[in-house]
Amino acid sequence: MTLDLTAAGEEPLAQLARRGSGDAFGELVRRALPAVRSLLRRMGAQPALADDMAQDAFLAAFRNVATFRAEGSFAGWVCRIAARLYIRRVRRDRRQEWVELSGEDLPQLATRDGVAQRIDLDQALEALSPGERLCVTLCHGAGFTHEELAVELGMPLGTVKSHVLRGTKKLRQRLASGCSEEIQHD
Amino acid sequence: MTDRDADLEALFAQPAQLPDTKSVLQGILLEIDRRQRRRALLLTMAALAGALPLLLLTVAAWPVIAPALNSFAASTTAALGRDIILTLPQISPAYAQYAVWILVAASLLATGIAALRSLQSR
Repeated sequence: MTLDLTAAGEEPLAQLARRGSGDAFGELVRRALPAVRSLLRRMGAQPALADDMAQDAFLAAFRNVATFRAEGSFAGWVCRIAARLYIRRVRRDRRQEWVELSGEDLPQLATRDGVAQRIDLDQALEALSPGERLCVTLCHGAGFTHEELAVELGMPLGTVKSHVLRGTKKLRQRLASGCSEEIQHD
Repeated sequence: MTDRDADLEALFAQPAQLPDTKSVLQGILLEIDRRQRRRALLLTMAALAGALPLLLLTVAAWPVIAPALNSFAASTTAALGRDIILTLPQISPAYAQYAVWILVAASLLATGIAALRSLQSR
Protein backbone atom coordinates (compact mmCIF):
# COMPACT_ATOMS: atom_id res chain seq x y z
CA MET A 1 0.00 0.00 0.00
CA THR A 2 1.41 3.38 -0.94
CA LEU A 3 1.06 6.47 1.20
CA ASP A 4 -0.88 9.39 -0.21
CA LEU A 5 1.74 12.08 0.33
CA THR A 6 -0.61 15.04 -0.06
CA ALA A 7 -2.90 13.69 2.67
CA ALA A 8 -0.17 12.33 4.95
CA GLY A 9 0.74 13.95 8.25
CA GLU A 10 4.05 15.66 8.82
CA GLU A 11 5.54 12.89 10.95
CA PRO A 12 5.17 10.08 8.35
CA LEU A 13 6.48 12.44 5.68
CA ALA A 14 9.45 13.34 7.84
CA GLN A 15 10.16 9.64 8.44
CA LEU A 16 10.08 8.96 4.71
CA ALA A 17 12.27 11.98 4.03
CA ARG A 18 14.80 10.74 6.59
CA ARG A 19 14.92 7.45 4.66
CA GLY A 20 15.80 9.40 1.53
CA SER A 21 12.42 9.89 -0.13
CA GLY A 22 12.68 12.96 -2.34
CA ASP A 23 8.91 12.94 -2.94
CA ALA A 24 8.11 13.07 0.77
CA PHE A 25 10.60 15.88 1.28
CA GLY A 26 9.08 17.67 -1.72
CA GLU A 27 5.67 17.51 -0.10
CA LEU A 28 7.12 18.96 3.11
CA VAL A 29 8.72 21.75 1.06
CA ARG A 30 5.42 22.48 -0.69
CA ARG A 31 3.68 22.89 2.67
CA ALA A 32 6.39 24.94 4.38
CA LEU A 33 7.44 27.19 1.49
CA PRO A 34 4.86 29.99 2.02
CA ALA A 35 5.79 30.29 5.70
CA VAL A 36 9.52 30.42 4.98
CA ARG A 37 9.18 32.96 2.17
CA SER A 38 6.87 35.10 4.28
CA LEU A 39 9.28 35.08 7.19
CA LEU A 40 12.20 36.13 5.02
CA ARG A 41 10.21 38.91 3.40
CA ARG A 42 8.99 40.10 6.77
CA MET A 43 12.56 40.12 8.03
CA GLY A 44 13.28 42.64 5.30
CA ALA A 45 14.75 40.51 2.51
CA GLN A 46 14.15 41.71 -1.04
CA PRO A 47 11.97 39.31 -3.11
CA ALA A 48 14.80 37.73 -5.12
CA LEU A 49 17.04 37.38 -2.09
CA ALA A 50 14.17 35.94 -0.04
CA ASP A 51 13.58 33.26 -2.67
CA ASP A 52 17.30 32.46 -2.86
CA MET A 53 17.55 32.22 0.90
CA ALA A 54 14.42 30.06 1.03
CA GLN A 55 16.04 27.69 -1.46
CA ASP A 56 19.26 27.60 0.56
CA ALA A 57 17.28 26.92 3.72
CA PHE A 58 15.40 24.00 2.18
CA LEU A 59 18.61 22.54 0.78
CA ALA A 60 20.20 22.82 4.23
CA ALA A 61 17.10 21.15 5.66
CA PHE A 62 17.39 18.40 3.04
CA ARG A 63 21.01 17.75 4.04
CA ASN A 64 20.11 17.68 7.73
CA VAL A 65 16.66 16.11 7.60
CA ALA A 66 17.96 13.19 9.68
CA THR A 67 18.32 15.58 12.62
CA PHE A 68 14.73 16.86 12.36
CA ARG A 69 12.66 15.63 15.26
CA ALA A 70 8.98 16.28 14.73
CA GLU A 71 8.56 17.93 18.13
CA GLY A 72 7.76 21.20 16.39
CA SER A 73 6.51 21.78 12.86
CA PHE A 74 8.70 21.25 9.82
CA ALA A 75 7.91 24.80 8.68
CA GLY A 76 9.05 26.16 12.05
CA TRP A 77 12.28 24.19 11.81
CA VAL A 78 13.06 25.44 8.31
CA CYS A 79 12.04 28.98 9.29
CA ARG A 80 14.73 28.97 11.96
CA ILE A 81 17.28 27.66 9.47
CA ALA A 82 16.24 30.36 6.98
CA ALA A 83 16.40 33.05 9.65
CA ARG A 84 19.92 32.02 10.64
CA LEU A 85 21.05 31.93 7.01
CA TYR A 86 19.57 35.37 6.38
CA ILE A 87 21.16 36.83 9.51
CA ARG A 88 24.53 35.41 8.46
CA ARG A 89 24.06 36.87 5.01
CA VAL A 90 23.10 40.31 6.31
CA ARG A 91 25.94 40.39 8.83
CA ARG A 92 28.36 39.48 6.06
CA ASP A 93 27.02 42.19 3.81
CA ARG A 94 28.70 45.35 5.00
CA ARG A 95 26.48 47.54 2.88
CA GLN A 96 23.44 46.85 5.02
CA GLU A 97 24.16 48.43 8.36
CA TRP A 98 20.87 47.30 9.83
CA VAL A 99 22.26 46.81 13.31
CA GLU A 100 23.27 50.43 13.67
CA LEU A 101 20.00 51.89 12.40
CA SER A 102 17.94 53.40 15.17
CA GLY A 103 14.23 52.92 15.66
CA GLU A 104 13.58 56.55 14.78
CA ASP A 105 14.61 56.17 11.13
CA LEU A 106 11.17 55.20 10.03
CA PRO A 107 10.54 54.75 6.32
CA GLN A 108 7.36 56.38 5.11
CA LEU A 109 4.50 54.10 4.17
CA ALA A 110 3.48 54.40 0.57
CA THR A 111 -0.04 55.72 0.09
CA ARG A 112 -2.15 54.91 -2.91
CA ASP A 113 -3.89 58.04 -4.19
CA GLY A 114 -4.71 59.11 -0.67
CA VAL A 115 -7.26 56.36 -0.36
CA ALA A 116 -7.36 54.80 3.07
CA GLN A 117 -6.13 51.24 2.72
CA ARG A 118 -6.16 48.24 4.91
CA ILE A 119 -2.87 48.01 6.72
CA ASP A 120 -2.01 44.39 7.19
CA LEU A 121 0.91 42.87 9.00
CA ASP A 122 3.29 43.17 6.07
CA GLN A 123 2.53 46.83 5.58
CA ALA A 124 2.71 47.49 9.29
CA LEU A 125 6.16 45.92 9.41
CA GLU A 126 7.37 48.49 6.91
CA ALA A 127 6.95 51.13 9.58
CA LEU A 128 9.64 49.51 11.70
CA SER A 129 13.35 50.19 11.44
CA PRO A 130 15.34 47.31 9.93
CA GLY A 131 16.65 46.28 13.34
CA GLU A 132 13.23 46.37 14.95
CA ARG A 133 11.66 44.57 12.01
CA LEU A 134 14.24 41.81 12.17
CA CYS A 135 13.97 41.38 15.93
CA VAL A 136 10.16 41.48 16.00
CA THR A 137 9.82 39.05 13.08
CA LEU A 138 12.33 36.61 14.51
CA CYS A 139 10.78 36.81 17.95
CA HIS A 140 7.12 36.51 17.00
CA GLY A 141 7.45 34.84 13.61
CA ALA A 142 10.24 32.30 14.13
CA GLY A 143 10.04 31.69 17.86
CA PHE A 144 13.49 32.98 18.83
CA THR A 145 13.93 34.06 22.45
CA HIS A 146 15.61 37.37 23.25
CA GLU A 147 18.74 35.53 24.37
CA GLU A 148 18.88 33.49 21.16
CA LEU A 149 18.43 36.65 19.13
CA ALA A 150 21.24 38.39 20.97
CA VAL A 151 23.57 35.50 20.13
CA GLU A 152 22.44 35.14 16.50
CA LEU A 153 22.50 38.86 15.75
CA GLY A 154 25.62 39.60 17.77
CA MET A 155 23.76 42.36 19.62
CA PRO A 156 23.68 43.14 23.32
CA LEU A 157 20.65 41.58 25.01
CA GLY A 158 19.40 45.00 26.08
CA THR A 159 19.40 46.23 22.47
CA VAL A 160 17.46 43.19 21.34
CA LYS A 161 14.90 43.68 24.09
CA SER A 162 14.44 47.35 23.27
CA HIS A 163 14.13 46.57 19.53
CA VAL A 164 11.47 43.96 20.24
CA LEU A 165 9.61 46.14 22.73
CA ARG A 166 9.65 49.27 20.59
CA GLY A 167 8.96 47.34 17.38
CA THR A 168 6.04 45.42 18.92
CA LYS A 169 4.57 48.67 20.23
CA LYS A 170 4.81 50.33 16.81
CA LEU A 171 3.40 47.24 15.15
CA ARG A 172 0.42 47.18 17.48
CA GLN A 173 -0.19 50.90 16.89
CA ARG A 174 -0.02 50.42 13.14
CA LEU A 175 -2.30 47.40 13.19
CA ALA A 176 -4.77 49.20 15.46
CA SER A 177 -4.81 52.31 13.26
CA GLY A 178 -5.21 50.07 10.20
CA CYS A 179 -8.26 48.43 11.78
CA SER A 180 -9.82 51.75 12.76
CA GLU A 181 -9.22 53.13 9.24
CA GLU A 182 -10.88 50.05 7.82
CA ILE A 183 -13.91 50.48 10.09
CA GLN A 184 -14.19 54.17 9.15
CA HIS A 185 -13.84 53.29 5.48
CA ASP A 186 -16.60 50.68 5.72
CA MET B 1 6.84 37.73 31.13
CA THR B 2 7.35 35.76 27.95
CA ASP B 3 9.33 36.97 24.95
CA ARG B 4 6.40 36.52 22.56
CA ASP B 5 2.77 37.51 22.29
CA ALA B 6 0.25 34.86 21.29
CA ASP B 7 -1.85 37.18 19.14
CA LEU B 8 1.15 38.46 17.21
CA GLU B 9 2.43 34.90 16.81
CA ALA B 10 -0.92 33.95 15.31
CA LEU B 11 -0.68 36.90 12.95
CA PHE B 12 2.84 35.97 11.88
CA ALA B 13 1.75 32.37 11.37
CA GLN B 14 -0.46 33.49 8.48
CA PRO B 15 1.71 33.44 5.36
CA ALA B 16 1.83 36.55 3.20
CA GLN B 17 0.33 36.47 -0.29
CA LEU B 18 3.46 36.14 -2.40
CA PRO B 19 3.68 35.66 -6.16
CA ASP B 20 5.59 32.96 -8.05
CA THR B 21 5.29 30.33 -5.33
CA LYS B 22 5.02 27.61 -7.97
CA SER B 23 8.23 28.55 -9.77
CA VAL B 24 10.16 28.88 -6.50
CA LEU B 25 8.86 25.48 -5.42
CA GLN B 26 9.84 23.92 -8.74
CA GLY B 27 13.31 25.46 -8.48
CA ILE B 28 13.83 23.97 -5.03
CA LEU B 29 12.52 20.54 -6.04
CA LEU B 30 14.72 20.47 -9.13
CA GLU B 31 17.77 21.41 -7.10
CA ILE B 32 16.99 18.71 -4.53
CA ASP B 33 16.56 16.13 -7.30
CA ARG B 34 19.86 17.19 -8.87
CA ARG B 35 21.65 16.88 -5.54
CA GLN B 36 20.12 13.47 -4.91
CA ARG B 37 21.38 12.21 -8.24
CA ARG B 38 24.81 13.69 -7.64
CA ARG B 39 24.94 12.04 -4.22
CA ALA B 40 24.00 8.68 -5.73
CA LEU B 41 26.72 9.08 -8.34
CA LEU B 42 29.32 9.99 -5.73
CA LEU B 43 28.29 7.03 -3.57
CA THR B 44 28.68 4.71 -6.54
CA MET B 45 32.08 6.19 -7.29
CA ALA B 46 33.11 5.80 -3.66
CA ALA B 47 32.00 2.17 -3.67
CA LEU B 48 33.96 1.56 -6.85
CA ALA B 49 36.99 3.34 -5.45
CA GLY B 50 36.77 1.16 -2.35
CA ALA B 51 36.51 -2.07 -4.35
CA LEU B 52 39.17 -1.12 -6.88
CA PRO B 53 42.30 -1.91 -4.82
CA LEU B 54 40.98 -5.38 -4.10
CA LEU B 55 40.15 -5.91 -7.76
CA LEU B 56 43.59 -4.70 -8.86
CA LEU B 57 45.31 -6.92 -6.35
CA THR B 58 43.33 -9.93 -7.48
CA VAL B 59 44.03 -9.30 -11.17
CA ALA B 60 47.73 -8.65 -10.52
CA ALA B 61 48.05 -11.84 -8.49
CA TRP B 62 45.88 -13.95 -10.81
CA PRO B 63 48.80 -15.68 -12.55
CA VAL B 64 49.75 -17.06 -9.12
CA ILE B 65 46.29 -17.50 -7.62
CA ALA B 66 44.70 -19.45 -10.50
CA PRO B 67 47.32 -22.27 -10.76
CA ALA B 68 47.43 -22.55 -6.98
CA LEU B 69 43.68 -22.95 -6.70
CA ASN B 70 43.57 -25.37 -9.62
CA SER B 71 46.32 -27.44 -8.06
CA PHE B 72 44.53 -27.40 -4.70
CA ALA B 73 41.31 -28.54 -6.38
CA ALA B 74 43.12 -31.37 -8.13
CA SER B 75 44.81 -32.59 -4.96
CA THR B 76 41.52 -32.44 -3.04
CA THR B 77 39.81 -34.42 -5.76
CA ALA B 78 42.49 -37.08 -5.54
CA ALA B 79 42.35 -37.21 -1.76
CA LEU B 80 38.57 -37.45 -1.48
CA GLY B 81 37.99 -39.51 -4.54
CA ARG B 82 35.20 -37.16 -5.53
CA ASP B 83 35.03 -34.78 -8.43
CA ILE B 84 35.55 -31.19 -7.61
CA ILE B 85 35.35 -29.28 -10.81
CA LEU B 86 37.47 -26.22 -10.46
CA THR B 87 39.47 -25.10 -13.40
CA LEU B 88 40.14 -21.45 -13.25
CA PRO B 89 41.28 -19.71 -16.41
CA GLN B 90 44.94 -18.97 -16.28
CA ILE B 91 46.61 -15.92 -17.68
CA SER B 92 50.23 -15.03 -18.07
CA PRO B 93 51.82 -12.34 -15.86
CA ALA B 94 52.13 -10.12 -18.94
CA TYR B 95 48.38 -10.21 -19.60
CA ALA B 96 47.67 -9.62 -15.91
CA GLN B 97 49.84 -6.55 -16.10
CA TYR B 98 47.90 -5.29 -19.12
CA ALA B 99 44.63 -5.89 -17.31
CA VAL B 100 45.87 -3.94 -14.30
CA TRP B 101 46.82 -0.98 -16.47
CA ILE B 102 43.46 -1.05 -18.24
CA LEU B 103 41.66 -1.08 -14.90
CA VAL B 104 43.78 1.79 -13.58
CA ALA B 105 43.11 3.83 -16.73
CA ALA B 106 39.37 3.13 -16.58
CA SER B 107 39.17 4.08 -12.92
CA LEU B 108 41.11 7.31 -13.54
CA LEU B 109 38.75 8.15 -16.40
CA ALA B 110 35.67 7.44 -14.27
CA THR B 111 37.06 9.50 -11.39
CA GLY B 112 37.80 12.39 -13.75
CA ILE B 113 34.30 12.31 -15.21
CA ALA B 114 32.74 12.19 -11.73
CA ALA B 115 34.90 15.10 -10.55
CA LEU B 116 33.97 17.16 -13.60
CA ARG B 117 30.26 16.47 -13.15
CA SER B 118 30.56 17.31 -9.48
CA LEU B 119 32.26 20.62 -10.30
CA GLN B 120 29.67 21.44 -12.98
CA SER B 121 26.78 20.88 -10.60
CA ARG B 122 28.16 23.24 -7.94
